[in-house]
Formats: sequence, C-alpha cells, structure tokens
Amino acid sequence: MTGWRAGAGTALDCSVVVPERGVDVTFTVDEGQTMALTGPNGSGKSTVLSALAGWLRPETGHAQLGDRTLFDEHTWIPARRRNVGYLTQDPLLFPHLTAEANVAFGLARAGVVGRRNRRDVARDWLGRVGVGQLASRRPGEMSGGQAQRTAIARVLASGPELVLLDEPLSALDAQVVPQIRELLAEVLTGRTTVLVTHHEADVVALADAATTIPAPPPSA
Amino acid sequence: MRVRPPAGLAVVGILGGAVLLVPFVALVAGVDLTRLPGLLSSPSALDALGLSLRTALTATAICLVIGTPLALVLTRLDFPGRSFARSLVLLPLVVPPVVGGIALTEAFGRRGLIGEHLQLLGIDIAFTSAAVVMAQVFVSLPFLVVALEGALLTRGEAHERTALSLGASPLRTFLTVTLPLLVPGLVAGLVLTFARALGEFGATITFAGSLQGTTRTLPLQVYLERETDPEAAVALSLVLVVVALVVITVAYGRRDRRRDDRQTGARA
Repeated sequence: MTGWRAGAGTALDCSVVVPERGVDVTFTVDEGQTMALTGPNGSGKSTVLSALAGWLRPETGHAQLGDRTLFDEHTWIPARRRNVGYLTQDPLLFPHLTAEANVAFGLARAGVVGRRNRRDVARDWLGRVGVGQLASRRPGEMSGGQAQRTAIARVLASGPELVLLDEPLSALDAQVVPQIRELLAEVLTGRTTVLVTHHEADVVALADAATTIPAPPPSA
Repeated sequence: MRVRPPAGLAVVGILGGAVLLVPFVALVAGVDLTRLPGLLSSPSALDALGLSLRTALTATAICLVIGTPLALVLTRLDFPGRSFARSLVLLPLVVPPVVGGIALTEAFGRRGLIGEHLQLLGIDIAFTSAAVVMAQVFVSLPFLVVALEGALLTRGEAHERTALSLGASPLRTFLTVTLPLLVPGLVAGLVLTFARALGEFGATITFAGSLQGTTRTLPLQVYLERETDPEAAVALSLVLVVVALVVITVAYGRRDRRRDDRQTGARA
C-alpha cells in the first residue's frame, strides 16, 4: 500500500448556488481530468471550491463524486470524510512539524499503516516533488517554492479522490512558477481536479477543459 | 526611520512613566538590605510565600484546563449571544476584587446558593485553601481567556481546516494542530494568569479570610505586617515586585522579540 493512487480519479458532477454571493455555477469534470474555473474576482470561483471542500454549504446545488454524494439538499458529508484534497496559494504547512511529518499527516486516510511505512511513503513523496533532501526541515526553514512543493506532496499523498487547487502558484516568486507548474502537471495526471486560476498559462499547462464564470450582476 | 512625536508630548510621556516607576523606586529604596534575610525567613513570611506559590500554581493549572476550552468555545463555536458571553468573561477583570469575593461567598459560602448544599454533603469551602484557589481562579481566568482568544483570532482556522481535509478527526486536529500552534499564546497567558493569581488580595480576604498557613497568602501577609511591622511589609512587597518583574520579562520579552524578528524579516 503506497497511498499514491495515480489514475484513481472519479468523475465530478456539481452545481453550486449561493444567492447572497451571486454564485450559480454548474459543471462536470470527467474522470481523471482537470477542469479550470476562470472568471473575474468576486465571480465565486473560490466559493465553489469551499462548497466542494466542505467549508460552505450552498443554499441549493449538489456535488456527486463518482458514486458518492458530497452534498445535495438532503446530504452533507463533513470535510474530513470527503476525501477531497485542497491546496491554496498559502501552503499552510503545520509550522511545528517537519516536512516529513507534514506529508505523513494525511497518510492514515490513505490507508498507510505503521509509523515506519508512513515515514517511507512521506519520504518517497518528498523525493517525487523534488524536496527529498528537506525531510527534516520545518516550514520556517524553507523557501516559498519548497513549502509549496511539500504541500503538494502532502495533499496528494493523502490519496484524495478529488483535488482542489485555489490559485496554487499565485504567491510564488516568478522564477519558480514554471517549475512548480510543471510539477503539478506531472503529479496531477490522471487525477480528477478542479483548478481556480487567473492565469492563462496555468489553464494551458494544467487543464483539460475550462469553465468561465461570469461576473455577478451588479445587484448581487 | 520612525516618525517622532512632538517634543511636548515626549515630556508628558516621560512624566507618565515616572508616575508608574517612582513608587517602585521608593519601595526598593525603603528596604533595609541587612534586615532583608531575617524578614523574609520568618515563619509567617515563609508560610505566606509557600501558600501563595502553591495556590497560585494550582489556580493557574485549573485556568489552563478550563480556560482553553472556554476560549475555544467563545471563538470557534457559533451560538446566539456569543459576543455578550465574551464580554461577560471580562467581568471579573473590571469589578473590584472585593465584589468578586462577596459574589463567591454568596455562591459557595456556608449559606450560599451552592455552598449550602455542599455543606450538607460535608464539603466546606469558605475559609480553606480551596477558597483561596477559587478566588484566584475567579480573578485570573479572564487573563488566560483573553490571551487565548487573541491568539486564536489572529491565527484563524486555516491550519485546522487543512488538517480536517486531510482526514484528521476533530480531536486529533485539536491535539496535534490547534494546541501546538497555541503554545506562544498559552505561555504568555499562563504567565499573566499566574501573576494575577499570586497578587490576588480583595477576593481572597473576603471569601477565604486570613488564616496563617491556610488562607493568608503573601499579599494578605503584607497588608497585616503593614500594621505591625512596616519594614517587613516593605520587604515582602519587594518579593512580589521581583516576581512580577520576572513575569513581565518572560511574557513581554518574548512578544517583543517576535515582533522584532518579524520586522527584520520584512526588511530582509
């Protein structure tokens, strides 16, 4: 059991309606594909991700991930039971844990049993994202790019059935963006993913399809 | 380059500092160093010091155990009247401690709302060391809760959300993410809580009385000595000032260092 279940993507069918934020978005993502959500600020891109992650319950709508209902009018699966990975522009590494312990944090969900196995899998992942030599560093001792690489390893190691990326490159120094983008393109292959971005280059490099959310009407 | 305040303001500011400092300078000047060891090692002084340390440490531990959940409830749980509840927690900070002592007596005294029933069970709190601890918890708990609320609100919940979305249970998230991230706020809050508990006077003398070795803590001993041996009162006061200085250095020295680090980091 390695916890890397590349190719284990599941199709997503979702509709999110939050009238007070002027959000009304419907889209589907084919199994193992990446859907980019683009649109102006305030159009509700991040609201859609919050609903899929389990942080915000939309007034109406539904999300079906493979054969599981994440939410609809009767159902609401809490975030921790969704098996949905969420990566933001802030890596949000746990500052008191080493890179290795950060990646190992989500391995219990991926079914990796035993401390030694978890350590080995975490180290494998750190190597895969190019920071294998930093396993014992804490986030305070890493650059922004190294921290985001570690966060990518952490979220994918936990074996999510759906990956949500909210502007994952926008806080990084310009010179590391192409490398991390390339890494994401590599590790996301075969994973069902929803990517929120402002950057055309991200859409081109990472997405199989794109949905543009229009700006909300001025009254919203 | 800092923007300097106008010269006139600086003079008034220095005066303000003097208002705070001069009494302490006078206190230190009033201590007869040759008599100090004798005054501090009298049985009554040692009793008071020992009792103060024991009760203040116990009160601080109790505040930790009940104050951390309280701060979490007040910041992380949505319920009607939350902001009112948050201001109620501050009540012991703003009412005179003697009023707190009377309130505690009305609740836990021999004829109090709850004390009456405890009495029937053979439990008598008033005028015991337990009463000292209760008075200290009552006045110092808000210090811990306010410090933790500040820490929780400044940091937000993003790390906890990350932990939950990685599949961690709420308990695991609390133990492995929330608590470790709270440590700096906890340390600062606990130090202030301990200092407040150690200095508690009004609620203690009202609710617990002044019995040597049982309820007469250091501040009560100072007050008593003031009548009979003012020099001893000054010497004991000095002990409390030294403890307070250590506490301030620990609590605020850490904070200033962190702030300086951040500023240096921003410039780098």
